[in-house]
Amino acid sequence: MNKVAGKPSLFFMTSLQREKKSDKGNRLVQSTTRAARKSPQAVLVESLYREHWDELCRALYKIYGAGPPEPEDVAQEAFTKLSRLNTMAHIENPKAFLFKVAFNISLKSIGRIAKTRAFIAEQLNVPLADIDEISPEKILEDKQRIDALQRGTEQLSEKQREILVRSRIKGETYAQISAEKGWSKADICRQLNAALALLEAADADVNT
Amino acid sequence: MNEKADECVLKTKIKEQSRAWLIYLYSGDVEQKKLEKFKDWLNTSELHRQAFESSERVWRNIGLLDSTVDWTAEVGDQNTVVPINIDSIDNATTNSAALNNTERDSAHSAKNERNIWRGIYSKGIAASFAILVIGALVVGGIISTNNEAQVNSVFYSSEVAQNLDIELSDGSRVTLAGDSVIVAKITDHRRDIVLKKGRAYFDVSHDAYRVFSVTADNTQVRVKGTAFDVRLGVDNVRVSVTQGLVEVAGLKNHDGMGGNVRSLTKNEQILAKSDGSFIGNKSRFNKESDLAWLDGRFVFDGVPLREVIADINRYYNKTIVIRDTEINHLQITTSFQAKQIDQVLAGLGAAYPVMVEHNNDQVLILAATP
Repeated sequence: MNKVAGKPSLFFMTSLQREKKSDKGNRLVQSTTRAARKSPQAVLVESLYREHWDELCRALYKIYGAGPPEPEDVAQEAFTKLSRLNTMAHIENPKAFLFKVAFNISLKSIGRIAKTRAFIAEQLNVPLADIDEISPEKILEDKQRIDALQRGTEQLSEKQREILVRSRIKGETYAQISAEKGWSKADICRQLNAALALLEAADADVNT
Repeated sequence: MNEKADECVLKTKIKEQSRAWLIYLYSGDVEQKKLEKFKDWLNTSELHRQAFESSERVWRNIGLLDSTVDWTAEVGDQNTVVPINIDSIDNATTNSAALNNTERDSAHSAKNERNIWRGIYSKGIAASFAILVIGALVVGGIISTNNEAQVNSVFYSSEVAQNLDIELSDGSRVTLAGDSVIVAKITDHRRDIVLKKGRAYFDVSHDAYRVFSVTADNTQVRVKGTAFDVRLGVDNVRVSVTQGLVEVAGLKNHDGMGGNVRSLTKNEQILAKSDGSFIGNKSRFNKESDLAWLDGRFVFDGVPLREVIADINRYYNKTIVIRDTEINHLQITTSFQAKQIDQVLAGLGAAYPVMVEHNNDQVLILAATP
């Protein structure tokens, strides 16, 4: 991967684009066949790559720092994951989905987070992937819940949102948040508790 | 009956415990002993297990929300100057022993300072804003860097006696009344405006994928594409709808759950207190009179003096102060153009039991001595 140049080569895409050498070397036929073989998912991922690679790397750098893992590696893995999906047809916002996948990859790489997730999966007796991975199928299954949750978040205070983002997405410890923002750990726990209570209520409404 | 109540109390308690455990597990500071305690708690009963599964699911799903992506981009950068924090200053300050001179002076000097400060347009292009420190007020703006991934808040303010027309980056049009302030934050997923001071009329461009919200004090208006007016009054917020369907919510910050939500359509209006609770039910309003300010006119029909003065102050260069609280609720009926305010003030003295005194920099309205 050529980091100096900025954009890496799309090496994970070449399997979709590798030219099949026919004996007659009929390039025209080959190119048409190649075009016909490109799945909608491949087309989508390619366009996401073209449009958002830079922005994604910058966001990862800003949020998770220089690493390890390096932002470019995380971004690369995110695109790889996307390219391996069957379809993203039901995802309303593919760009946001890309970012969510990338953030999750970064989060998983934090040892403490990985351990906690593994512990919880073990205690709940569910596969780790249920807790650790993001899939379009899951988003579709949980659509109502997620929509309700989205609405619930509109009622959170700025402080609650920030604490939520820092702990849930950035993977910061409460000690880290306390050091950066000056809030006491007790306050942070309180706010998080209140925020989760609100969100759980929104989630519960879906069942009733 | 008793059984059900008990069951409910128990479930609530278990939910609280479940949340507390989740928060502990992700605190970044766990001890082996406590982890064993968690296992014991989890395996106490199926109810415990279900509660925790539910908490964990909510925690997990937070990472699947579109808005989380936005917020994460905001929180990322430590160097970003964070939003403005202006106290909503009511120029029609009523005097009493409670309001001392320094408060009045600072409110007044702030008004003059604001004339120096100009509103700035943004057409979706990141621009730089200066941060000014003014007297008792701290005015700040978001400084954008060249980083496109960053979300920018844009700060708009109008001068006294001047309506300001703004086009937001999503194509929505906003008209600020005189001496009014909004902060606009428009991202790929949301369009959020805060009315910090005064009054504004919103003509929202339709976008089914992005909610447009306007927050004033603890009242929030949410639409996809409509037109409505929001007025931040002395101690209330009024929303008047001219087009479309508008959702108005009373917000409760920090700990409580959300407050009430009302839906308003064309020609409907609702009033809320500063804390977000609604006053009465929705009522109809007359666009010609209530929104005449858009054309630089005012029409008041039995409106309390305090609100009339609050509206007038946005269009008058001197600060008008009601000195005697007993005349605050005097019902005023009058109509005039913004440039006729001098005559109007004089007229008030003639038509109502009040006296109007002009100083160098203020106009005082007092109860008339019998």
